[in-house]
Amino acid sequence: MERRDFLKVVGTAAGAGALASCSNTGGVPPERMLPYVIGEPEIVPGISTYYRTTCRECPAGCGMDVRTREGRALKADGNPLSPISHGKLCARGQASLHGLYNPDRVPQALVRQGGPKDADPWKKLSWDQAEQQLADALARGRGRAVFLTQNYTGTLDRLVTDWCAALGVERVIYDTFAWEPVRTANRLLFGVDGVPVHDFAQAEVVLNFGADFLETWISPVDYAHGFVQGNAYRAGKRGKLYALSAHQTLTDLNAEEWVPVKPGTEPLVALAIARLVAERAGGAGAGAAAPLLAGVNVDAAAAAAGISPEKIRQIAQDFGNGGRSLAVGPGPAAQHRNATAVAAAVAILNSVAGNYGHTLSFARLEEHAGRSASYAQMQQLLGRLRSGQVQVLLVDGPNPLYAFPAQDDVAGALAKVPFIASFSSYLDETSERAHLLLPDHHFLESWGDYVPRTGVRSIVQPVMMPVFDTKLKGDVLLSVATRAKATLPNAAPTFYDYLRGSWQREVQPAAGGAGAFEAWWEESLKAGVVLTAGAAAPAGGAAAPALQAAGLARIRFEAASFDAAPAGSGESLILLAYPSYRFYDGRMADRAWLQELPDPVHKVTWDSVLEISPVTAKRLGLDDGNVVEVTTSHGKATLPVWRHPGMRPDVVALQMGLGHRGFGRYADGRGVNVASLLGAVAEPESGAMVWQQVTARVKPTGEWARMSMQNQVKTESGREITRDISLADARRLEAGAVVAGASAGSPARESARERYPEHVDVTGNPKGKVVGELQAAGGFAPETVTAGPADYPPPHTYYGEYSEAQPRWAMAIDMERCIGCSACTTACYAENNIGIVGPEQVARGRHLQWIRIERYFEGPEAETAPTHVNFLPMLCQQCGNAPCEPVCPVYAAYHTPDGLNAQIYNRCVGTRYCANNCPYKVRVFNWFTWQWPEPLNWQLNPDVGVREKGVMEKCTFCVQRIRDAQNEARLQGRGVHDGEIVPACAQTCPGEAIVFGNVKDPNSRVAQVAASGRGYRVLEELNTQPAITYLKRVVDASEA
Amino acid sequence: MATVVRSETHPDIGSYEDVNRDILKLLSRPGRGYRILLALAIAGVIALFTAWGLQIVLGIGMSGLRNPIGWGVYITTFVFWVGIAHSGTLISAILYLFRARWRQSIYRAAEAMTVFAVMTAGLFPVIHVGRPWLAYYLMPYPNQRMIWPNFRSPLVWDVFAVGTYFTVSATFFYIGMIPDLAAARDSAIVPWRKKLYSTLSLGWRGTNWEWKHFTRAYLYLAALATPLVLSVHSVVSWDFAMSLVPGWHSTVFAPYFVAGAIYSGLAMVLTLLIPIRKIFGLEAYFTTRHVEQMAKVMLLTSLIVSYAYLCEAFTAWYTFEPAEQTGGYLMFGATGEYWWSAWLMLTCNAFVPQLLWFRQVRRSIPAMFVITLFVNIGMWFERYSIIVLSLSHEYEPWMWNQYRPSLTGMIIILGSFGWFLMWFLLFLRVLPAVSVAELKEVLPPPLRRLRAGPATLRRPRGGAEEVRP
Repeated sequence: MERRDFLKVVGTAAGAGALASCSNTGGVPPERMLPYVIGEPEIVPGISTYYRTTCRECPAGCGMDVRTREGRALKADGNPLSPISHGKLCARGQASLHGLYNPDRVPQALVRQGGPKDADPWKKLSWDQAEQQLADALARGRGRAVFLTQNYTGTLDRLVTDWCAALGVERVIYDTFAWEPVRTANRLLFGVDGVPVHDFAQAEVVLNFGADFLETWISPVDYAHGFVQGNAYRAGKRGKLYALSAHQTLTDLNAEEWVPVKPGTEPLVALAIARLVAERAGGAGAGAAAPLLAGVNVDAAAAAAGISPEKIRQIAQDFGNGGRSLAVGPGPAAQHRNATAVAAAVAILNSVAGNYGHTLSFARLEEHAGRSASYAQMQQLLGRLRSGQVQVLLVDGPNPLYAFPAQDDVAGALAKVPFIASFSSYLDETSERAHLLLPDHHFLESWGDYVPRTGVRSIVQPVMMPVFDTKLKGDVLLSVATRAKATLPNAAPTFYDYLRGSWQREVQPAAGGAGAFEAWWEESLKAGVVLTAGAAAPAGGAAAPALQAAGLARIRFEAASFDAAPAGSGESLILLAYPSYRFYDGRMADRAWLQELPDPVHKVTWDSVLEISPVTAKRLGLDDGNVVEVTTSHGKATLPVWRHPGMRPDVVALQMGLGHRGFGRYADGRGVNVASLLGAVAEPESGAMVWQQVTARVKPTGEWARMSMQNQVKTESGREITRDISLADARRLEAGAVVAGASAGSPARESARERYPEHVDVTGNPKGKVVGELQAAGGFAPETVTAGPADYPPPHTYYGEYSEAQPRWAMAIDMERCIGCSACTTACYAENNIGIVGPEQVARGRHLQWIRIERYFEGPEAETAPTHVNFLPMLCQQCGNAPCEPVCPVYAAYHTPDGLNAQIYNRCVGTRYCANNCPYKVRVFNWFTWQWPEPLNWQLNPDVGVREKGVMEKCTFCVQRIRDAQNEARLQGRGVHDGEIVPACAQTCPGEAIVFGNVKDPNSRVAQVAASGRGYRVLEELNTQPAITYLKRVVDASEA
Repeated sequence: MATVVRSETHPDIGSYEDVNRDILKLLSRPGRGYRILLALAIAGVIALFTAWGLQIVLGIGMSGLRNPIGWGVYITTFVFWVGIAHSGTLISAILYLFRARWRQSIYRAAEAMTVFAVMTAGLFPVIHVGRPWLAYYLMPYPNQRMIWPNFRSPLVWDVFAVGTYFTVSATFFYIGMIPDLAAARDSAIVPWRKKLYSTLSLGWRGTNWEWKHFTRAYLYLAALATPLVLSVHSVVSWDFAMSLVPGWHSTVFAPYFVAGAIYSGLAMVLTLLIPIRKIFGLEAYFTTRHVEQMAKVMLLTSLIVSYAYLCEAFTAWYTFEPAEQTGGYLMFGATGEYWWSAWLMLTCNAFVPQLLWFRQVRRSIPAMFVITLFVNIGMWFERYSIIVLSLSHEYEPWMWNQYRPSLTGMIIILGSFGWFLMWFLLFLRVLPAVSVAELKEVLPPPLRRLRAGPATLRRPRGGAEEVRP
């Protein structure tokens, strides 16, 4: 072949390849491509655009900022203006992008053709056909149609209500977690059917009766944020959380003191505490509850709960002393047969402590928690379905087929309905039974609004073009109404117009928005959230509501009962079902990021485990991973156990959220569905589903399963990775004093201090005389190293390429503010294109987390009776004297001029020496090339490379964000401001535990936080000069 | 003045003609057992490259390695083979310089073993890395990006140390063989052999002038190779000792590794030569005396290695550092999940060789064969214990993990024995496995003058002109 011919061939082939890649637009028709030659004004290739919207993954409704590049959503973070999210998100909110780009989404309108046994029973429909089919079905079933929705608020709620009225459709609202006991108790005691906003930030002492308010309870991000503000050590003070439960959830692990009350006895304990508090207050605040409290026997309550009466007295003392305190509960984690009594007792407790109007008040309600039907009402609906009274069922949100026990026979009820339409974008258990699928846009593709709480209007706005051929539910409803010739009030051609109309009519005046609507609307879109009257807590506190005697009389303050275990062999233990931080009620189980995220407590990924007390486990001869058979009167499950040191010996616990049949590749067939072990029991008073109802038989099978978890240890084995000090020491350290026992000493120094007190000083260093003798004898004299990031580099040292003129990026992490929620981990996955390795590889230890939350049970008997739990976010320490750098033979690991330990992926050969030599073990290796099934790969951050097999990777302090901010500052001809650069983990942390910045600048926040007397550096005795300063956790909040 | 009629070391060799006949016989048509062995070895090589290919295509995760255990059986086997490679140079160079009179009949095979062991060891760093197609990044080659390897990294030192060792030992091996190649050339009948030996023998004619230069070159090369015996394994030990890993960063590592290398190398020489001696009827050349001499060196190195084990345990205990104390084999190793590995190491390397104190054992060929097998196994597990135990239990309890080798890893390791054996078997049939020339140095010269009448003979010293091919 001639050279010219060769060039021709090559040129033609390259041209054809380029054309082919141009036309690959991921299913979007070519005429809708964005022409970058002319370009939308707000879209500049390479520059991120941010849109504000509202997270709709759980009812809380956090304000959200979504980063997009070239028209694709890449990263979700909290909207700092939102009073719900405070600029933070939980792991579920972070994982909303995996909902948007879920490869198993319903791609377009589908109609059922064959039976459920067929391989592909679905036929594609155009939206026109699909809407017509729905309209026809509604016309046929007029008056016998039901629209089962989740709890919408705001404009969509209005539209659906009007639409249902106009088309003769009955609307039923249902959420699995609807806080029925709390609402019922408030209705009975105060006449308010709602949930007040809890102000944890103002609460110094919190009593928790089974509310997992850091995980799923009502508004977890706001509550976590508030809890940390009220609880974490600052200015010589620290809050206190008492957890009164039989099993510690993540929230309870954050408690200073866990009181292991017998399941079901919470009402008795709460009332006993209330009695003591009221007694001390001289009966003030008890009101109508006074006679009830007078009859409470503290000793009897303590005996029933299996705790000591002194403990109750101590809690009452603290609770009363707090001045501003808060009792919360119950959540689904304590929803037993008498849950309303728990809620009522908690309300009485808050009432006698005078908390209403201060730490919680009915002036502000959690709007989203107000109106859902109860489980009992859902059972009635199922009865009507079963008797054939319903011709048409529309479903949007609830997934009863998964969430309800088998006794409810949801499948049988659904089979009796001739026409079921689902708006679900995912084929979950319930929508799999539908006849017509009308997949709604994901909320990141939708217009809408949301009212999470009184006075807060949060906007839902699309951040990108729809990924699939889905259609906004509001638009479908409007279109169907037109086809059915129904007239809606304020009807508009599209839901977008409807929404704007509603905001123009109502929200703008309510928010006091002046001027033209268009300008105000644009401003509102930029803010993402609009506050109207009543959004802020009333200054000086609101009036305390009075307890109502009539309602009080209806509540039985007794211990809840549990069904006996079925006959058979095995240990009988009460089964506690509790909500999952990662999967909520199960709706998030199809997110690979969340499946891959280790559970904050048991750290297992992708699977269910039965949590069991180490005491019981020992009696049954069980170790972590031993498989047991759990039998209840309603079902049976086989799963491995995990020994949870924080639970009573008479219970076992099983998390909700897994055990799906269907629901996409990531959820299908993983774990155990708790509902399959439960009976259809509704709490009599509130109608809530009873999650804590049965006693199970637990029988070892003798088998062992390799659990998909990497980190199996429970304690530190004396390694002092995490450190804690007493409150008194913390105060003294803050004053600058050196405190024995609180020194930043290594275990060896501690040990030396204990053994040779005459030769070493309090910090473990040899005393002057000894040093002199050692040196005179020609021996080594220990050198005291000041390892603070600010002292970097130490004099006469030369570390890599580090330049004095450059900043030194550093972090300060306050363990007092880390609640262990792991939102940072998911945020890091989203920001840095970290691969999903799957359960088998996690079990082998090939997890790719760049930041991990280490959870250590502490205390002399940490394995069985821990005194407390320390959480420590571990990420690359960006050491000044990094052990990873010199060992890399090819300079893939090197030191940047601004002091980062860089890792050059293209240069990495994969010798793994750097990981071996890293004492923190924060380097992770790509053992294989990991896949992102289309369209999950759309989420990949274009600022960060995607690593192939054989490459080492690790935390970069989000170097792409650092460079971005530096470039921006350079363009503007200025330096980088402190706080301008925020790594993904710090940005999403609900506790604001992580502070990032230039530690060389003494005025930077990180330098100031790192200078705290509580500061220490992990494994600093290795002279690695880490850039991360951890602030010790303060335990023992008692006045000492 | 003693009259020499029989060699001290080789009393059963009659004459120079016997030597030529016996040794060059090895180069003739092989028997059935040899062919089966060679077929097995080649099957091992095929398995090795198949498993390796699969691992390259799918990812290094096939090796069974995981976080945080970044090094496992591949590096274990690398160190094992580098260790094996030591005795060749030890026997040929150091014993040559010390004029040890028993080395002549075994040094060629030991040298061949060295070269092939380095060739085998050299595979493993490449097998081990995540992206073997970029392994050349470790070489200092001129490139457009102006990037050199990181000379602070012990892995780069390794590249040089092993590279140098291979070059020098291969050269030494070849140079020492030239007179024998000439002998083989002169007796070769098969055309390809004739051609091969003609080329390789570089026109050697056995002239005085040639011998003069040859012996000089050989002496200098021996002097050059001797420090390498100490340096290579010291550098390999620094792969570990220069790190921060508890259980690795110990100053005792260099002498400990060198002793271990000599120990394992001698064991491997015996493991290979004892069967060869039997199969090829070379009892006269490779005598009980050889076995006993090597057993004595093995006993010495075994004691050094055992001392190092004690040292390691003591220093770990003495630090009070929990990471040190449980990181090495002392506590975690001997009692933890890898107890079998730690105890295998101690039993095979420290306890079993104590039998070598007994003369009967040292002189018993079957007993020595069994003991060397123990030592080979023990030395592999020594490296396994050092590498895997330490990495499994480092400073950070949250990242403790357990490692178990995968099927791919095991196939590659077994395949590497096939690779080594294949080269060694080919060597036996293609190149003179015993040094004809040097052996004749220690034999009494041809008895021509004896026939003419009693005469006093000097001890033979490099009588070059006496060599009659």
